[in-house]
Amino acid sequence: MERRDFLKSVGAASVASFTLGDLIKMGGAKASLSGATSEKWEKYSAGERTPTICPYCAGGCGLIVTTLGGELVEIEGDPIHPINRGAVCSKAAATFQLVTSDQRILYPMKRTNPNKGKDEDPGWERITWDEAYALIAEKVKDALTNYPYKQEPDSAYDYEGYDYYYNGKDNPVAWLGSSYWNNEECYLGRKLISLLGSNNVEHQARKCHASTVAALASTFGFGAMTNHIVDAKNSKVFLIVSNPAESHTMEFKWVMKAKENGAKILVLDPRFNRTGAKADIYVRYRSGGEASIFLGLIRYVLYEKPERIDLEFLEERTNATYATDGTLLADWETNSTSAFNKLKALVADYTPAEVERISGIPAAKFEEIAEAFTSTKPGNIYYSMGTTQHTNATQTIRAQAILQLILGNMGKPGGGVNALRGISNVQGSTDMNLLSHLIMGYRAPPKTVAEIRRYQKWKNSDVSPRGGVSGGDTYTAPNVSTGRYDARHFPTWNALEYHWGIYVGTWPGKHPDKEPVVCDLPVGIGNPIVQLFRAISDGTIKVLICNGENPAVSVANVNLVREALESESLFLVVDELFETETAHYADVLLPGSTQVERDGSITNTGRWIQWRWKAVDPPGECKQELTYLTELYQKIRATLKTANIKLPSEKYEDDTAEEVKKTIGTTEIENDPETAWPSRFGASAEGVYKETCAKSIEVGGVTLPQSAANVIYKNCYDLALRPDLDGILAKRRDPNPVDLEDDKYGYYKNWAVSWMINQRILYQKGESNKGVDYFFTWFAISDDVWPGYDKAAIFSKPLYKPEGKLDTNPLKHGMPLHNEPLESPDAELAAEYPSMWDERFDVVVGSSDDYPHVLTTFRLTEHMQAGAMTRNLPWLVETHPSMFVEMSPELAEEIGVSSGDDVLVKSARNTNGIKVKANVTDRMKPITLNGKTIHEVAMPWHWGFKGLSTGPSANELTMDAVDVSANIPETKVCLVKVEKA
Amino acid sequence: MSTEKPISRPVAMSRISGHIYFADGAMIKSAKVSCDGIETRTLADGSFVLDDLTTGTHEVTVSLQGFKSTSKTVSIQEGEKLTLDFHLSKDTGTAKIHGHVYDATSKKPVEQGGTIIFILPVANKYKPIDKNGYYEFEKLPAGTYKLLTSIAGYEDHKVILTVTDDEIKAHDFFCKTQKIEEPPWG
Amino acid sequence: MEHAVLVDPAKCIGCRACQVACKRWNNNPGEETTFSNEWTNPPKLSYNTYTHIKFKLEHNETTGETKWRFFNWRCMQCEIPACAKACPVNAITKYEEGPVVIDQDRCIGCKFCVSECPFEVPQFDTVSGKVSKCHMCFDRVPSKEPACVQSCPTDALVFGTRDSIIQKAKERKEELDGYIYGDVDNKPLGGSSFIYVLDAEPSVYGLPIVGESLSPTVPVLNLSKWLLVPAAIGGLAYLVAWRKKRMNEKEE
Repeated sequence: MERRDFLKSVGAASVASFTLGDLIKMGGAKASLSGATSEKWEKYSAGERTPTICPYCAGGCGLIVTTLGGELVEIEGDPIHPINRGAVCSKAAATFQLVTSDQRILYPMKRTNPNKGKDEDPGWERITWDEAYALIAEKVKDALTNYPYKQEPDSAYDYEGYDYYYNGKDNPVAWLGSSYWNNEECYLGRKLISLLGSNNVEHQARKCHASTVAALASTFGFGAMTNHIVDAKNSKVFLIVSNPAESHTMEFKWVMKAKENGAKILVLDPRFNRTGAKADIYVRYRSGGEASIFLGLIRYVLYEKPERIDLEFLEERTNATYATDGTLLADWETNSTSAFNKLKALVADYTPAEVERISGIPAAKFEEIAEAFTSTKPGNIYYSMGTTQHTNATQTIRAQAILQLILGNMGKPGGGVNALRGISNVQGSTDMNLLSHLIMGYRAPPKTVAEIRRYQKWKNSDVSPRGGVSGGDTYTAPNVSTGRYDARHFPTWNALEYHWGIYVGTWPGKHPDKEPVVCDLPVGIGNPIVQLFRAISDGTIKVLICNGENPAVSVANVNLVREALESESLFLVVDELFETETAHYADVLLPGSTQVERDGSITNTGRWIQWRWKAVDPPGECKQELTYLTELYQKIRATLKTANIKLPSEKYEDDTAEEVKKTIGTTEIENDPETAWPSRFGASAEGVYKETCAKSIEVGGVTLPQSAANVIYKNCYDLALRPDLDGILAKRRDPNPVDLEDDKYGYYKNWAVSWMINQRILYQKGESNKGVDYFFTWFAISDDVWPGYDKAAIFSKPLYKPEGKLDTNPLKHGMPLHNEPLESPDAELAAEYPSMWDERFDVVVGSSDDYPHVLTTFRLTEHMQAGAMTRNLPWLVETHPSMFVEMSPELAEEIGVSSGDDVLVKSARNTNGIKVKANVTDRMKPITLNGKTIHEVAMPWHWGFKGLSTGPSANELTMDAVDVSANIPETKVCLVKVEKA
Repeated sequence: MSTEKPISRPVAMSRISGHIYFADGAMIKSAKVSCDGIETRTLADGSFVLDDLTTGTHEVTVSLQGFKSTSKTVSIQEGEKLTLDFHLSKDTGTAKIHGHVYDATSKKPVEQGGTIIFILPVANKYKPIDKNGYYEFEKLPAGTYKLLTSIAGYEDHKVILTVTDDEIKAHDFFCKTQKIEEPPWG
Repeated sequence: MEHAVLVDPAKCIGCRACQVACKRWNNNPGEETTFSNEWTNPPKLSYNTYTHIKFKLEHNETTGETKWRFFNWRCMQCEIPACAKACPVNAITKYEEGPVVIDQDRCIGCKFCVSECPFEVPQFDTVSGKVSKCHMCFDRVPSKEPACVQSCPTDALVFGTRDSIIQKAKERKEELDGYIYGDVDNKPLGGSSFIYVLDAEPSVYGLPIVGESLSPTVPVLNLSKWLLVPAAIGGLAYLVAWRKKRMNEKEE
C-alpha cells in the first residue's frame, strides 16, 4: 500500500466519523435533538391513527392504534380520552404484543387424539373454516335429533294437541362466552343459542358479579355500578374492599386525584396490596367476614352517630318509612314496625367487639374506619370480588347498599355503591344477557305456558303494533304483582319476535286458553355455570361452544370442569386467540381476532358504551367474530333443516299445514329468522348496533314503533342528534364538558353514550327524562300490594320462602345478616352464623382440623383473569413469571419455609395439593379470629398449564358452593393446608 | 459402484384406519374401536386409526351404547395400510325401564308434567311424564343406563340402572321441590 | 429548551405501565425472569430493560405500620454525565433538550461508561457487544413526552420544561415535607433531567449521595479524550486498510 493511500483512508475515516456533535462537544456547548429520529418515530409520524378501547379490564380506557400501510406500528393510550388521558396500565401497554404475538392460533384445527386430558397432546390438524363449520353443524344436528319440539299440554287448559316449544334447560347444546366480545357479537351469540332452543348459556359474569346484579337490582333497580369511573374525583372518602390500584388501574387514577384534593382512602383487605400501599388507613380482615363489617358500620351509624343518618333521603327515597306489610308510617322513626327500626333491631348485635370476633379487625381499628368513613360525605364504596364471590355475597352487597342509603350517599357525584366489573365488556355482555335466566336487556325468557298465554292476550289488547288478533281475548292482570312482571317482560318478547323473525304466543291467537302454545324462544331457565358443567358430566349436554372464555382455569373447583371437559360424550368447540387450557380439550379450535381487528361497541363498568374501530386486518385465517357467527348460524341452520330440525313454529306448520304469522291491520308478517339474521339493519357491526338500540323497525313493509331489541340500549341511537355518525352515539368523541356542572363533576356527556338516558350517575335526581332517575325496585308486599316507585329497598321482599335455619337466614328478614363461608376456620362462628348455600348439588367440604389455613385468591396488575391474554406476552410474563402463594413470616416459620421455597397447598377438593413458590412477606400477617390466631394465605389465580408461563391453577383448590340468590360460586375463600413441599 | 448386499429393513407395521358412520351416513364421535387388545375411539369426524398391527388376520370390533356392535375380520400384509369403514345401526332390545315420579313430600305424582332424560352417547332420549306421573322406555338393549328427571319446580334427580335382556325394571323417583325462585326482575 | 421529568414515587402504584411502554416503544424483548420475592422483575436494569419499578417493603414490628414503596428507576440523564465523559469514542451525548443518548453505531463496547456511572445505569450486552440505557425517548421529545410518562396513570411521571418541573418539585416537596433529588437540594453530577421528589430520605430509596462533579476512575480519559478519538478511529482505519492490502495479496 502506498503511504498516500493510508493517510487518505485514515484521514477520511477520521473526518467522516468526526461529526458536528464532536465539534460542539469540544467547544463545550450541547447538541440539539432537532433532526434526531428513529425508525419507530418515522413510522409513527407517518402512520394512520385509529381509536379503540382496551380489551382488558372494564375501565374502558381509550387506546390509539397507529398503522402504516396495514402494518401495526404502535398502540398507546388515547391522549384525549376523558378516562385515561393517554395513560395505560401495564396490560394495556402490552396490547401491541397481544396483537402481534407469535403464540396466536392462525387457522382452524381439529383434534386427532381421541383422548382428552391435561397431559394428552391434542394432535392438532389444520382444517378449513368450511370443514370446521360442517363438523360443528353435524354435531349440533346429532345432539338435537330427538330433542322434543313439542310438549304435553298443561292440564290446566282445555284443548287438543301439543304445545310447541323447546325446553331451555334440557337442551343438549350449550354456549359459553364472552365478556371480551363486542356488544353486537354478544347479541348475536344470545340470539344463535336461543334459536337452537337453548337457555344453557353462560359467561364470565356469572362467576364475578352475579351477586351484584341480584343485590343491587333488588335494592335499587339496576344491578350495575351506580356512578362511573371519573366520578371518583368527586369523593371525599373512599371505603375500598377491592384492589383498584391493580385490577382497575385507571379507576385508581381518579381516586388519587381525589386524594390530591384531600380525600381519605380507607382500605379493607386481607392482604396489604398495591391499593393498601396508598391508603390513609389500611385494615386487615379475614376473608369471609365482609358482611359483619358492613353490618357493624350500619350499626355504628344507627346507634353511635345517628346525626349522620340522612333522614330526609330515607324518607323521600327509600322504603325505610314503610312497615314490612306495606303500610306507610308517619311515625316511622319511632314506630318499631318500620323497616328502619327493623333494620336497627337486626344489626344491634354487630358491635365493634363482635365485628372483631368475626372479621379479625381489632375493635379500636374498626371504630377508626367507621368514624373516618361515616363522618365525611360524599363517601364512596368500591367493591369487587372480595365481596361478590361468596355464598353470602348478595347479603353483603345489600349491606353495603343499605349503608350508603342511610348515609344519603346515593344518586350524587362522589357517592355510590360502585361495583368494579372485571372484563372490558362484561357490562355489555351482561346487558346482552348471555345468561341462563335472562334473554335480553334483563328480561326473562318465558318460563311457563301460562305466561305465554297471557302474552298472547296482551298482544290481542293492542293489535297494532303488537301483532295479536283483532277481537281476540284481551289481557287482564291476575294481580298487581303479576301485572308488573308481565309489563316488564312482554315488550321485550314482542321486540324479539320482530327483530328475530320468530313467533311467540298461541295459535291462531284468538282464544289463548283454548289453543296450543307456539313459542320460538326457549322456555324455562337454563343451567348456571356450576350446574352447566355437572350437566356436561351427566351427559345431558353434548355440544359446548365456548368462545373467548377459559373455564378450565376460571371456575371454582376447576377439577370438576376439567373432568367434564374430558367427557367422551362432549363435543367442544373453542374460538380463541391462543391455545388456552380450555382449548386444550377442544374437538375443534377456531382462530379468533383481537379487538383492533374489528368494529363494534363495548360497555365499560361505568355503563359508557364506546365504539372500537378496526385498525388492522386479522392475521392468517383469523376471522372477525361477527362473520364467524353469521357463517356458523347459516351452516347450522342449513344442516338442521336437512334433518327436519326447525323452530317450533316451523314444526307446527309442518305438522298442521297451517301458516303461523303475525297480522298488523291487513299486512301479514311472516316469520323469517334467516333474513332477520344478523339484523334488520344490515350485516355490519353498525347494523347490529342499530338493531339493539333502534326505536322503530320496518318488517314486512310495516314500520313498527317497537322498543329496541335490548330495552336498556334504546336511547343509544339518535339519527337526528348525530347524523354525521349515522346516529350511533357510541361513536361520539367530543371530550369537552357540556356545561359548568359537567366540567365540575366530570360527566363528559358528549363522549360516547351511557345507558339508559346518557345518565352518568344512576338515581341522580334532576335529569330531564323520567324513568331512570328513580329507584324502581320490586317492592311488593303481597301479590296485590304494590307501594309504588322511587323507593330504594332497605327491606327487600325475600326471594323465596326460606326453609330451616330461620333466624340466621337473612331472607326471612328481607335484610342482611352475617353468614359464615361454607368452609369456616372457626367452628364456633360456623355454628353461630351458619352458612347458606344452594344445597341442591353436592360439594366437598373440608374441616378446619384438616385444613387450618384460610385461602383467598387475588389478581395482579400485570396479569388478566385466566391468563391467556397475559401469560403469552413476554413483556408481562417478565414481571410475574410464576405462580406463588403469599404468606406471613410467622406462618413460614411455623412450617419451616423461606422465600422462594416450594410449598404444597392442599384443600378438600384437591387433596394432593398444588406446588407453588412461597412469597414470604410482611404484607401478610396472622389474624386473631374469635380469640384464636389463624393464618391466611393468598394466591393469584391467573395460572394454568398452557402458555409461555405455566403453573398450577388456584381454582384447583377453591370452593364451588354457590350463593342461593345469585348462583355465584364461593371462589374467594376456602380452607387449605400449606406445608413444605 | 458398490456391490454390497442391501441391509435388511425392519418389519414394517401395518395400519387399519377408517370412519364410523350412522346408518344414514352421519359421522359418529367416540365410538369404541378395538382390535387384539388395542382400543381407540373415533374422533369428531368419525375417523379412527389402529397402528402398529402385525401381519395376519385381525378382528376389528366397533361398539357404542345404543348401537349394535359390529365386527369385521380382515387379513393384512406386511406394511399394508387398510381402510375400513363401518355403518352402525341403532340397537333394539327387549328390556324396559318404567316407573312413576312422585313429589317427595306429598308422595303424590308430580302434577305439572316434565321430562325424563335418558342419557345416550350421541343423542339423548326424552320421554314426557304423563298426567299420572308415569314414564317408560321400551325396547332397550341390555346394559347400564343413566336417567335424569327434569321437572319445573323440582330438583333434578338421577339414577343409574342396569337391565338384562327381557328384564322389566321399575324405578320410582321422589323429587324434592326446588327452593329457589328466580328474582322477579328477571 | 431544556425539558425534564418529575418522578414522584409517592404517587406511584407500581402498575409497571412505564416498564412495558418503554419496551414497546423501543421494541425491546421481554426477559426471562424467575420468581422474585420482592416482586421487582426483572431484578436489575439490563440492555433490554431501560427502566423498571423497584418494590421496597418496610414493616415496623412494633407499630404494625407497613409501607410499600414503588420506585421507578432508570438513567438520571445527568447534566454532566460521567458516562459521556468516560466514552473514548464520543458515543454518548447530552442533548440540550435533556436526553443523554448512547449512539449504538458508535459504541465499541469498551464498558468504560459502565464503570464510571455512579448509579450503575448503563448495561452491557454480550450478544451485540454494546451498551444501552434509557435515552429519555430522544426521538419523541420535546414534541411528545417519553413513552413511560405518557403511560403513567397517576402522574407519578410528569414531563415539562425544566423550569416548570423544578417548580412542581418544589410545590410537591412542601406537600410531602420531603426531598428533591436531581436538583435544588441535591444535584448529582450537576443535576439531572429526571428529578425525583421523595417523601423520605434518598437513602430509603437506595439513591446514592453523588457530588456535583465526579473524578473518573481512569484519569487518562479526562485529558486525552480529544486525542483518543481521532487516534482510535485512525488506528482502526489503518487496520482496515492493512487487511485489505493483505487480502489483495492473498488472491494473487
